[in-house]
Amino acid sequence: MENSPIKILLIEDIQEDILRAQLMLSDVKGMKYEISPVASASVGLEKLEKESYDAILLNLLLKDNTGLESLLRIQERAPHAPVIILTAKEDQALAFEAVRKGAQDYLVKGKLDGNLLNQVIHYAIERHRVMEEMKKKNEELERLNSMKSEFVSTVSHELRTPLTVVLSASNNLLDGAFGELSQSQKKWVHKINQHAQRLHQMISDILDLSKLQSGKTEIHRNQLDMVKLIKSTVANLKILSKEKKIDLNYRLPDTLPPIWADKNRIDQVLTNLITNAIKFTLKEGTIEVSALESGGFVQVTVSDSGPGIPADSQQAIFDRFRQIRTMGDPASSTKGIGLGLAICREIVTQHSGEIWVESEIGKGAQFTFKLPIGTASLQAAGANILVVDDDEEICKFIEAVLEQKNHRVTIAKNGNQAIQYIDNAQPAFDIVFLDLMLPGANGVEIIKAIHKKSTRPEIVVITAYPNSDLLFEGMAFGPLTIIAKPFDPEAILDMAERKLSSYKKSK
Amino acid sequence: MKESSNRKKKIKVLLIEDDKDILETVRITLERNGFIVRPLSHGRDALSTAIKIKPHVIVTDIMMPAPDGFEICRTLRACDETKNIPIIFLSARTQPLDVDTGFKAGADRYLTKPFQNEDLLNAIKGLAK
Repeated sequence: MENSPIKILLIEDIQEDILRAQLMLSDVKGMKYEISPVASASVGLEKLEKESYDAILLNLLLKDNTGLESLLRIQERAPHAPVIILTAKEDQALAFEAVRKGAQDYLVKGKLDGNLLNQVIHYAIERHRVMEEMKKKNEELERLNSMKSEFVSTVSHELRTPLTVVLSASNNLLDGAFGELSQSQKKWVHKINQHAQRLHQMISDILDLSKLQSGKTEIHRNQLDMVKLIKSTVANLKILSKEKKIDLNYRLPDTLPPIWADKNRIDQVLTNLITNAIKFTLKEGTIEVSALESGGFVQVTVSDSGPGIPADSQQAIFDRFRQIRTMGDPASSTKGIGLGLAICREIVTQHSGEIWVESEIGKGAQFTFKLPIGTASLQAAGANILVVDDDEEICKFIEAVLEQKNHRVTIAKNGNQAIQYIDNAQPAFDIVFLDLMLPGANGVEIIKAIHKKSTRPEIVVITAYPNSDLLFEGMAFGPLTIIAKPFDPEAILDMAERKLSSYKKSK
Repeated sequence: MKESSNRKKKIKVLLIEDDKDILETVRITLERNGFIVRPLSHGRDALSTAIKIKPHVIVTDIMMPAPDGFEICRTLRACDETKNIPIIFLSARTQPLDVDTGFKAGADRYLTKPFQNEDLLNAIKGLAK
């Protein structure tokens, strides 16, 4: 680095600031800078066409008035060079927005010296390089992943054709299409057919799991009554349990709060757990399905009186192609459980839930999964939102916008009132829209109060002219989302939706 | 249709499938269940055969050398004499997108391979009127 100069494209139309930057950077010891100043974004773009630079310094308030638009175009033209925004103090809202749109950093002109500028440029170059590398690696991973699922899909399709012949022909044989079979011929054709069916199941499972893992499966969520689902799934599986004289029953409360889930997928999980239990439980054993509400979740347990699962394989059975080594029924111990539990885990995880097993050798196994409640009511009835602003007009406006989408809005007109509401809210707020400059306790104190809570609402700061000090103080507690005044009502709704979904994910 | 006056009609199926083994084994299954089957190992004669024998139901594979099942389906739907004949796709392609394309091409049912005998038989019986 010492030998070759660092090439900087400086897009700035204030002559004095150009000179100042040149002077500062010529002052840095052991560093050589080669600065090419241009007075407009369009000339800058032309330069970038012909030459490559190590970093770009950009004033967002050029006289040609292209602002963020020019930032995006520069990034498009020179994705490998970091952009550092130069700003006067009063433009910080714009600078924040620029950083959000991909600028590496921003500098307040008045507070600059050569060493700081040198340091920021170096960090920006390094950071940008790492980010670009990560982006490349991510793209490569995504490409590999999609290749993998395409491969699985092709293979599964290719396997289906020969399998169709095996199944169909053996069915015809069993059906007597080619004459009566002897007892042992029948037995073995039947086995061919059975194993081909298992193969078919496996192929379907591999495809299903691969699609679930690649995120290509759509989860169709709806309000779901677990009590009802368990009753119907158990009824459907009675035929299977009767074959082994297993007592399959359920123990359920009268009602459970609804969850927000894909009925077919949860049915798949339940069916899988119960069929596994039937498979591994000895004749005349018992299987019980129970459910309860606990800590914001609906929790479902399938308990069997089977031989149990050794402690050291309790984790592994949720992995692909693991098989339970049972102590009991030798016939069942040879059967793999294949991908069923891996699929269950994938489905439950995609519903923000958890699945696990508890078991002791000789004492059966209890498979439990839990799924969050409350998301359904959030989705249907909107979020619980606090709006804090001393301007009554703005409060009324935001309230009207949010209530259109069924969000429940509480208004606080000063900081103390806001803190009181936050402390006593039942249920807790999901989102707080917040002005920072308030009578009474200011916005930072509200943010502080929010961060003391165990269930923390999402914070969105709405502000007319971001007073940098307050904003920085607020950010010390964690990242903040900012909406600048004047704002578009869509921005508020959009933010509510986005915050709501990220809030739910983190729950 | 005029068959309604017949006392006992046998259901006539046009079966199109390029895998000869599948073609034969499905034909056997259908015949053993009382259907009359006209097997075709490619789709080139699908339209002319359909016009000639007037099947009650057409069962066709999708992935075949041209014309493939989607194309066959569109051709049959575009012709007045065949546009009302029910079509069942029997395909190893199981992706939702394939199923969607199948229905958009004008299919009445979409069954995946390997199929359950019952499903295929019920589908044919249900569609043959």
